[in-house]
Amino acid sequence: MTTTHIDPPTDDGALSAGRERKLPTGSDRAYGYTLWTVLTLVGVIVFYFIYVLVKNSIPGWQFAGWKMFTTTTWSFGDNKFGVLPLVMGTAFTTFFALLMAVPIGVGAALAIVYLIPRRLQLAVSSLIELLAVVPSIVYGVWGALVMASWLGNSGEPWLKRVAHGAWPFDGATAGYGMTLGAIVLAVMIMPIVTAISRDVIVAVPKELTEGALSLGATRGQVIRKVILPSCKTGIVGAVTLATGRALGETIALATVLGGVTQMSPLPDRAFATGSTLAAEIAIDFGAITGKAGNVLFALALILMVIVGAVTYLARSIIRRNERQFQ
Amino acid sequence: MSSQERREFIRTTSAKSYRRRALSSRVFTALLVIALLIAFVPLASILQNVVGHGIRYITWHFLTTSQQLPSITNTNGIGGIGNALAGTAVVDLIAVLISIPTAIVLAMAMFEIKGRWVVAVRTAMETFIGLPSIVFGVFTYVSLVVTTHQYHAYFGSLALCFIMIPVMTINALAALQSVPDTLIEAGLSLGLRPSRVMLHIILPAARARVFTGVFLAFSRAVGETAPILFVIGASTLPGFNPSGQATTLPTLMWSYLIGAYPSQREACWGIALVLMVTVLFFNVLSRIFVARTQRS
Amino acid sequence: MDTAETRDNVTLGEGSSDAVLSLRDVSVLFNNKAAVRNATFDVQANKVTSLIGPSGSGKTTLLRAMNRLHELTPGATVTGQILLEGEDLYRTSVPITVLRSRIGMVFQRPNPFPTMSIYDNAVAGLRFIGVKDKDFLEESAHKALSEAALWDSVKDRLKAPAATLSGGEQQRLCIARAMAVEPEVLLMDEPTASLDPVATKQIEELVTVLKQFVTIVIVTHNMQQANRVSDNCAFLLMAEDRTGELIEFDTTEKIFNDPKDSRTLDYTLGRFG
Ligand SMILES: Nc1ncnc2c1ncn2[C@@H]1O[C@H](COP(=O)(O)OP(=O)(O)O)[C@@H](O)[C@H]1O
Ligand SMILES: [Mg+2]
Repeated sequence: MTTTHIDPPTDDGALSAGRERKLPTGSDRAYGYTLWTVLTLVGVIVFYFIYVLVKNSIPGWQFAGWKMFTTTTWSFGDNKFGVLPLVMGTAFTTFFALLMAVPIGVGAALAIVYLIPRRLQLAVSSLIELLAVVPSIVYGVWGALVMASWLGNSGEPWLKRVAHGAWPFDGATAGYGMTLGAIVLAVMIMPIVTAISRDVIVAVPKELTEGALSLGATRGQVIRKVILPSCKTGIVGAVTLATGRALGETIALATVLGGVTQMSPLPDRAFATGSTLAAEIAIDFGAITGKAGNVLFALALILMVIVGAVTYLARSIIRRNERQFQ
Repeated sequence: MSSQERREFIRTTSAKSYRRRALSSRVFTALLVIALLIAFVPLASILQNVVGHGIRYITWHFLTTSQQLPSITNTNGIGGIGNALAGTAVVDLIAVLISIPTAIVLAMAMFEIKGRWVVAVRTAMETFIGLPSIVFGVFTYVSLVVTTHQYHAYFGSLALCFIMIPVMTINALAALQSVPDTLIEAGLSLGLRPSRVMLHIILPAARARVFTGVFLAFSRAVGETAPILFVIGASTLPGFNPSGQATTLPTLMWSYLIGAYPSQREACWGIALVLMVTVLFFNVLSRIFVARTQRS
Repeated sequence: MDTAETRDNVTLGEGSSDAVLSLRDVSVLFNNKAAVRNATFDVQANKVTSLIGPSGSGKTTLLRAMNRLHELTPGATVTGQILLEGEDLYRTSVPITVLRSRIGMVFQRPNPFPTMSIYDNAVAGLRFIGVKDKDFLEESAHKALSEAALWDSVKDRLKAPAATLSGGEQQRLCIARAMAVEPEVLLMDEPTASLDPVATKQIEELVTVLKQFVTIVIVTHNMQQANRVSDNCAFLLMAEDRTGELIEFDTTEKIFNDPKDSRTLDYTLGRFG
């Protein structure tokens, strides 16, 4: 939701073309200097930020070595830095969170725009967007204290029974684990998907709906054949943004994933425990020392690059989509 | 096929397919409604638990006394959150005092100045909004805690600036850009200097939207755990000293959540309620400003 | 166009036998405030009927009532009767989607479905109502696009996105899209309002040709256009309370040359509106 309430600035971030103002002008020098100073300062801090993360990662790379990406044991205390379980845990939770959040989020957005009275639309979407302002730590508490026991006692045993214990619904059910992580993430990103999809759906010109209706289309046909295809780019943007958010979520997941086990480190079934890149940084931070600490910085850097790229992609998709209807 | 035959064929098809089409439309819309209902389940569950479990903690005692470690003889004695409220106040207040002016001046700079440098900084700010907040925690830890070997409340404030400044800046920039050109040209034609035009015309006109961003950013920052967890240390005494260590509401929740005692975990709900009310308060404030700008 | 003959041979107004669409006391209200009041006239088969009048006099509102499009607008109500070949549109047991496929509509701004190709646009209506036969679809596309005078220019790029067409071509694609379902009536709401003069002329010519296949109701605020293309003409005007009223309905010839009401004369002479 945060993202949707930020109107993107128009593309020429600087002075719009027609306005001729040179800075600093003679008598306005102090103003110009102030602006330049802050701009430069922030720019320098941004570079320093990148520099610090890169510089402190390097010893981590050297310490952990390439086997980081080929081994499957992550045991921070024993200097075993196989990140595959974390990478797979991140991918697993994000993917299944999207699998749950996208249909529900887009469906809810369509229902808000097309199926409920206009008077209620704002109230209903504000309520769903409330989920986006719940702090991560509260999700962590909800996941660990409410959902974990529910999943462990009811949800997972039920799934196991229904599937007759077949893979991937086999093995021990603890409540904590990948499934719980995916559910918590799904709840966290669903409002993002809903909010942006709703904006995108609302922007579809009314003429298209009316054109389809006047040809004899049913409401379902209008939505499926006309609205959804027109919204594809925008919804892809929303999903990408949600992906970025899910990949980087830390605190909410840190207490619900159960941790990487030595026995079967990779999340190879639905009820497996594990961890994610982001969560593991927070979990291991307490034990941070020397070179091992640099490995965590390296993880942070990987995470930052991936999430930064995904978010940047999402923003350009959303922005391109906004131009489509102008 | 003659025109008449075609029309006949189309009408028959249309009448024949009607039931199926109506049914599939109804099924589809029903699915959408179900999606909407499902979307409310987690919200209901979270609110029910936070309020249901949390409300009994809301006592004067809980809000004003400091936290206590449960002991073997008194496993329920967790004290209150007075120290965390004080810590939150200090850390967030300093963060806000730094962020607001920086973000507004930065937005003004992006508005006034052209060029690659501005585009680069703007792109960085936009990207920062989406970065995992733990990255800022790691950065602050490496650049401040590691170099000084100390934990300070204001380190947390600096980390929060990385969360707040980008949101505030991008919002403020959009606000400045939404001021009509005619208003600005009117000011310029009066012979006003750019700084006067900015301070007396553009900024006042953009005020409501700028505040929207401020409150939005703040409502996010109040609940942040990851960026400050590693840099502010911990303090079980209510203190307002920025150079001292501090415990905030989110970090206290974190330590209780991973703590050893059931009473600590249960108390998470009380803290969650206080935190949610705070976050919601500022989020609603931002929404009020959004509504106001949309009306004008 | 032989308006003289029309006038001689046809009785206008209530009760005329070849009325495809009959409006009886039709009023449209938005939140209980009337936008159009008590309109009564007949739309004759294979004729072009134009609705003229100043902006805000309720032309669009009245036209949309003929397709039950107001049902999308919360707070909108339509009273009176609109009969499609004797069947009351608002009280019939025929489902609305079936009804709407019998009444085509062309909008002020060309609105081809942007994600569909030219071909898919042309047959979109047929697909909506469940036609699956590929040969029939292809034949229909050919026929409808030809009727809309678009076939020759698009026959080599039927798979191209509809958005690649010019504004005038897009509008003709919308006409083809509507014609493909073989409607009895085609409603057009200022179909040339967003087009340049050349494209406007093409659409006008199209309208006069199309009336042999379909009965047309066209809204326009351009009086020359109404005069050029329509056989009958309804003149609407706002009353004191800003509600649109049907002032006069007659042959276009009469409305423009010999109106009964002085307000019609004032309007057609360009004295207001
Ligand atoms: N959806 C609506 N809600 C409320 N009022 C409407 C709506 N649509 C049209 N109106 C009102 O109906 C009147 C007639 O509008 P319209 O039919 O568009 O006029 P015209 O097409 O002749 O220019 C206008 O006064 C307009 O305000
Ligand atoms: Mg109109």
